[in-house]
Amino acid sequence: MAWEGIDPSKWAGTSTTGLTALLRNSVQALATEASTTIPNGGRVPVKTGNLGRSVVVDNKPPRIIDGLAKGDFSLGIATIKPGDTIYIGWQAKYARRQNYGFVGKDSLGRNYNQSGFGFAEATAAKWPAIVAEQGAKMGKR
Amino acid sequence: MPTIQTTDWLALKARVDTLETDPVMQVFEPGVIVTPPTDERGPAPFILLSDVTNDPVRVGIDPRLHTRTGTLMLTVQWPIARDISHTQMREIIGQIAAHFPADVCMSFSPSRLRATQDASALPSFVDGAYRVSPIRVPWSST
Repeated sequence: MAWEGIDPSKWAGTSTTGLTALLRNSVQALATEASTTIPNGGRVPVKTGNLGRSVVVDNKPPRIIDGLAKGDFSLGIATIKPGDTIYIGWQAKYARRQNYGFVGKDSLGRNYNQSGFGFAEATAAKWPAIVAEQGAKMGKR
Repeated sequence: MPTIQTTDWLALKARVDTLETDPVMQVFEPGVIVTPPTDERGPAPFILLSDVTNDPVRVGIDPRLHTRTGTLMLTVQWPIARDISHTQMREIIGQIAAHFPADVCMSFSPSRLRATQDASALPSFVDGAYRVSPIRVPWSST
């Protein structure tokens, strides 16, 4: 009599695909959260929008850029797989001082006096909830 | 009666107010206009506070039950004109981090907060005229 239950190799293949999809969807949601500005319900301060657009997803630490960001993190998501180390960060040169606060003059002589926004911490804190939400969505399929 | 958001902040602030540093550093609350302090040796180090709160998470059926979380950030701003070794800097920020050990209770009126893990002292970096050393204190309502 032939086996009529679940094919283990097919199940294993589906599981791997599912895990990869869960990771990619979750990372995409986290990157979206990382780029959402305060007026749009996020945590990233906005003046020109460059900081929010400078979010990048990569398998290596983000590189600081001087000019305007391109605002596309989707390329980095397409290649990630479970087990990889993934970096999500803000490439704008001034991201660190926006996050941790800055008092003093910048290189253009402009005076700043601000406490940190802590958007990196607030975004990271959402990771468990994002994975749970994406997992629940996938479980319904 | 102040709101829970106010008492949460005051609970954190009460803990910060008991912080003693060597050397003594002035602490600036979030959003204040900072006049960088000076002493007889010139620009003096100081601490910037940031109060980062996350979205509350509902715990169960009872709408009154929510878990509130956030990160208190203390950023030591050390003038680069003032000589300090890496070891000395790590010790100064290490002592600040040690003031917020895991499970330390911070309370004010109805707010009962605890540090969810030991405070983390991030690597220092130079920004403008200061060497900046952030310390993160993750907290949660109990």
